[in-house]
Amino acid sequence: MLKYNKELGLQHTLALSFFVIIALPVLIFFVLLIQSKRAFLEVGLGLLSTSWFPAGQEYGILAMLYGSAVVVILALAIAVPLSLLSALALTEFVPKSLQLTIKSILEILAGVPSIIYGLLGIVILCPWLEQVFDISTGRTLFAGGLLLALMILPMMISLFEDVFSQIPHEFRDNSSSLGLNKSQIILALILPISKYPCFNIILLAMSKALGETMAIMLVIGCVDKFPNFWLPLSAGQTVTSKLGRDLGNYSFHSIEFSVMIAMALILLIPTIIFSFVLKKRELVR
Amino acid sequence: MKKINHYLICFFCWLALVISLTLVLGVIVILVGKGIGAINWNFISQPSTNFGQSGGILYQIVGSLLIVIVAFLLSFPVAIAAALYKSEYLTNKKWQYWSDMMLHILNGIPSIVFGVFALLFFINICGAHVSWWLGSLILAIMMLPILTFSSYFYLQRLSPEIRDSCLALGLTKGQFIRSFLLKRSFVGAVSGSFLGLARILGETAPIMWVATVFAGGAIPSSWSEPVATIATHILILAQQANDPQAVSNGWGASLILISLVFILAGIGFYMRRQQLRIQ
Repeated sequence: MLKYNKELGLQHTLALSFFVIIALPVLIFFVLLIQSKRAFLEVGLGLLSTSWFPAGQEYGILAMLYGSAVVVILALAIAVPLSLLSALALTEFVPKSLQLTIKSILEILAGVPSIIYGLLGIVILCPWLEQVFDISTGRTLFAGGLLLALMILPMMISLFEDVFSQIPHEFRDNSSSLGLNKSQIILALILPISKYPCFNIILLAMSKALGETMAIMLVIGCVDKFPNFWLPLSAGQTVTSKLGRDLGNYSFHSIEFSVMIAMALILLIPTIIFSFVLKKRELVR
Repeated sequence: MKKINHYLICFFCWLALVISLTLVLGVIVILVGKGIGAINWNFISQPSTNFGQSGGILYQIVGSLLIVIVAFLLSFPVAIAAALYKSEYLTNKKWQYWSDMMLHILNGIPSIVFGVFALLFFINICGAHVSWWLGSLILAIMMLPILTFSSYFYLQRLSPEIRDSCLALGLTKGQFIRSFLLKRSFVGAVSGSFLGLARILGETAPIMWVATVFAGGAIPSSWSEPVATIATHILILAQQANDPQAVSNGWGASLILISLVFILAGIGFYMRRQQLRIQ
């Protein structure tokens, strides 16, 4: 009898921790949802305006969404080709021993905290941009995009390299015995085979870029206006930088605070969607 | 034409690799080059004064380590228990799918959302005061999926013969877990712990509203006191970017932070490689 209880007790203890963990995302989602209810009910479609001016009852978040989109697209436009080509060079051209060293370095470098990139951006990148483009302040959407590209670069190279080096060596040997040279192997074999995993990696990088806060917050300029449409060389605001900069300034129960929580909720939704897509395609990490 | 294409592709691949490595290693060179000048014994052993412009970062180092170590102690047992349950008791395919899903979502939630959640849940709903253990709690939540996955995958790599022979010896499931699997899940979680610690050590966003003060932090003497961490200290210094002394201290603090992170991540990756080798 005693043995039976011990068995069941162990199982229940383990089950408790397990269900606590899988309940956490649900809890986070509902806490954010309940707190942002007021924003959706009272402001409603007013959220979709371009001006943020709490004193005048204007709570448009479009400028922040636009800023986030611009920064992420800019970062991906720079980082995707660069990391894809680098990973190809790393797997196809670099000798095996050197490849492992570079890969280990990149894996470790992927963990540099974002606040350090922020310091780097504000002290080195922004003054440099001021000089190059001859603008009054370097704290722009463009700076945010560049910094973000730099941040996701090591992670993306290392993930692409994982995918390419998982392709069996027989495939390469067969292609080269058919008379294909290295660049033809890349175009005809490597890229078509790894099309879907590469797409997943881009999705992963996108979700990481969307959620980046501290570095972006320091270099983006933090102006709540809709930025000049043509030039990313103007100060702007992303969802994350707005949250990071201003959430502490509003009192609980104010409607501004509720709108901010709604923005955090909007940030959470792509994460959930991406997780479903990635799980469906079975790319784990 | 074929030849030209070949050379073009090779050229662009090499060019991209050189650019990326220059950028990535450039970051490290800049950090080391600028940071090394600011670090001396006083910088590590003195508290900061005048909003970090002068003095060292002793309290920040202590605060960071305190928050991170308590977070680790909180999440380690929970993660091991969850991994054991997922690996041994959870047979339902649907539950497996959803638990994977939830762990992935928890792993992918942006750090700022954790910060917002912590502010809302701990301070607004539960009515707690700003204190360092709230930071440990939220960072423990951030660490959980890494630890759980790491422990779970190591359990899954157990060869079926060992499992069969243990059960054939007449052990019940509970005895098998207590006498054999517990140790194994421990080993798996340790490599994940180093990676998780490396990740949460540099986090600023989740803890900046619930656990830290931006000026005048000290070594806490009770539960309900905020602390200063290295990461928040860098944030303050970065905001005084026009002041050379503050920036110099910022580089020093960054170098210390990044050294800690790299040591932890290096140990973690090394252990994971070793584990992938043995069965």
